[in-house]
Amino acid sequence: MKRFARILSEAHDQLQIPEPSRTRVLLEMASDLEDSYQFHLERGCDETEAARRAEEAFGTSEEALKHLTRIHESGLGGMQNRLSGQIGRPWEKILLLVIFAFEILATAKVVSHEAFFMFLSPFVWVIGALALTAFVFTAWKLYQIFFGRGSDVRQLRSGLGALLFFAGASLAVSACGFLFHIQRFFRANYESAAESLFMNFAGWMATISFMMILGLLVAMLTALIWFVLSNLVSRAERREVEALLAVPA
Amino acid sequence: MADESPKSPSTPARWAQALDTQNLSRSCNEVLILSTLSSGPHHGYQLALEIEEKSGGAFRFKHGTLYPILHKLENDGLIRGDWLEEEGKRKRKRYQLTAAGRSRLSEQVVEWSEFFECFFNIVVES
Repeated sequence: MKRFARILSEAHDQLQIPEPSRTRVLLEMASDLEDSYQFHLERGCDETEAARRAEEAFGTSEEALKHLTRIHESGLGGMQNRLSGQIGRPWEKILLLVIFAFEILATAKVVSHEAFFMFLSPFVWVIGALALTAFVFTAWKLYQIFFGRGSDVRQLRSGLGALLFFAGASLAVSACGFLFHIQRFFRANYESAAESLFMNFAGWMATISFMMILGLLVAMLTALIWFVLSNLVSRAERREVEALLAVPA
Repeated sequence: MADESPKSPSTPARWAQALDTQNLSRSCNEVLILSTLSSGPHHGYQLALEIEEKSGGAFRFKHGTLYPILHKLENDGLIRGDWLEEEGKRKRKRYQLTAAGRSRLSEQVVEWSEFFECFFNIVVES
């Protein structure tokens, strides 16, 4: 497809849309240019003539590219693309690593606390299940990114948004759990003596604080993983488009 | 007596709104693509080629101008694009009509028929 490097480079320069949308559009254009080229070859043109005709039939106008920019700039997808921008500088990587390590340590500290299982809320199991699903999904995506040599780079991004769903769901479950435990606490202690009320209140505080901290940490960790994976996928997509736009030797 | 309630606009007003008569060529391109996809999934290039061949060259797309239309339809959920690898060859994006797209196509066919009926009424009378 490198025979169309010039026309694709021009489109690349004119397309003012965030990655990975730009890469995807360019790959689609490259694929259609190649189809057109093959079509003209089959009709008896020589290679130079087929390439010339394919470029002529392609004819991306400035207006069309502006329209494409407007389409890809809008909506939730565009926002996600901008959020998952590129991390490239060393200090950005170090900062990300520090935040990640902090998250892991904080989660481990909360879960390993001796009182954690004493005051276990049933909602913690739901948060745990969400976290487990998110981590299995992450492991699968990491395998695809680093070891799935034959896999399509365009498929790598599919489903990444699910991680944001898990993060949101973890927060929502924490909030629901909080309301549930408030309601249960007041129902159970409506007629209790003052001294037992204090003891129950302490237990209730322990239950909801563990649950809410865990929910928040899982949400943050999952969102962070989404961010890291989006960057890894963006890098793979950039590599592919760079190879595509490389001028043939 | 005809229903003049504002809740039920007259037919021309309805299709004028739906077809976006200020941008007829865009509406026309959209319905051409939807109707071509109704016969089965197509690649971007195949779409342009088929429309051109079926119309005897009357509707000729510069292939690059297809992308804004295709991507808008995809964003609106009327078509779905999937990257596929065929017979171990290179990967290509293939578009297919969604249920929402099929329903929009049916509406557009009716609206275009009404549009042309109204159009020819004026042209023939004159």
